[in-house]
Amino acid sequence: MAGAGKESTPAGLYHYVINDVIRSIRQSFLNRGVDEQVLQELKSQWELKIVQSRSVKEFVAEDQRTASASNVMYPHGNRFPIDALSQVNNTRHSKGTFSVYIFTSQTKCLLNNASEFPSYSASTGAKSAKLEDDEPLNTDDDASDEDDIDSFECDNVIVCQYDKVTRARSKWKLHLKDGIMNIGGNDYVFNKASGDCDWA
Amino acid sequence: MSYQLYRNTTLGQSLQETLEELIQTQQIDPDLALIVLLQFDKTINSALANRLRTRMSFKGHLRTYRFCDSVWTLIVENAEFRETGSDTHSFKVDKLKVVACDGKTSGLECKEL
Repeated sequence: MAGAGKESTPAGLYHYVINDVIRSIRQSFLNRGVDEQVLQELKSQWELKIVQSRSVKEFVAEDQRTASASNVMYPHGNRFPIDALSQVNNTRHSKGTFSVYIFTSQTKCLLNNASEFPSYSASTGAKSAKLEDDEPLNTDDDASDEDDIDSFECDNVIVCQYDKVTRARSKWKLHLKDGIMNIGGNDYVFNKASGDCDWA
Repeated sequence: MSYQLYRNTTLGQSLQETLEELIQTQQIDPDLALIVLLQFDKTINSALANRLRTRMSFKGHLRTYRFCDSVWTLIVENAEFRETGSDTHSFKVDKLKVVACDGKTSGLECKEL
């Protein structure tokens, strides 16, 4: 019974899924004459990558050999390119392709700081003012184009199934289930979720 | 029917990267990797449905939406989440994408989709 409660967390669920997958595919590995050690390698590497993603704080690999990887600290608990992490560790993970996650909120923050840089605005201020007088450019067009392209791009994602999506006037109701969310680099899981959204 | 959409999560991507490495080092072949992925689909679909009790609710502003091939994709802005249960906590998200497959066809009867 204690185990059932634990699986309400992403860490508990992930351990269950990993163990269940490894158990279920063991026979397929044996049938093809693939060594048991490869199966254990699959399990430990899978766990290691979840630890390295830093998406699940409580997740600790069952294999103790991965303990050193979890000691590498990065600011804000954000995800960093996994290949960069491998270089830091200087371990065996030199091959393969990796995803790179860049958080837009931080990028915006950097851009804001850059525009506040005093010498930059002082030196270009006179020039840009003169340019506006000569040939006024409609910069609004550019902005709206980019907005359309980026509108479905988002770092915070819920992957789930829907029972119902309904609308009454401008009020939308979302009845979702079986979801995995990644919000701000952290994973959350849910059995059911309901959403109330307004559309204007 | 087991949906493949959970491959695009931390858990699924970690597995896919591991399988790619094992294929590259010729420890397993692509056929066996596919068997592992299909088993992952089965396990994660059933685990999310049967082993979780977590309930969430959220409010927000629907910025844009798309309904294509029975998949909803919605962009919600200024979403405020609440986890309903014993240890209630809430958090806010400025922009959020929801990708949702039809929950009714995920039963044992496999529809032609």
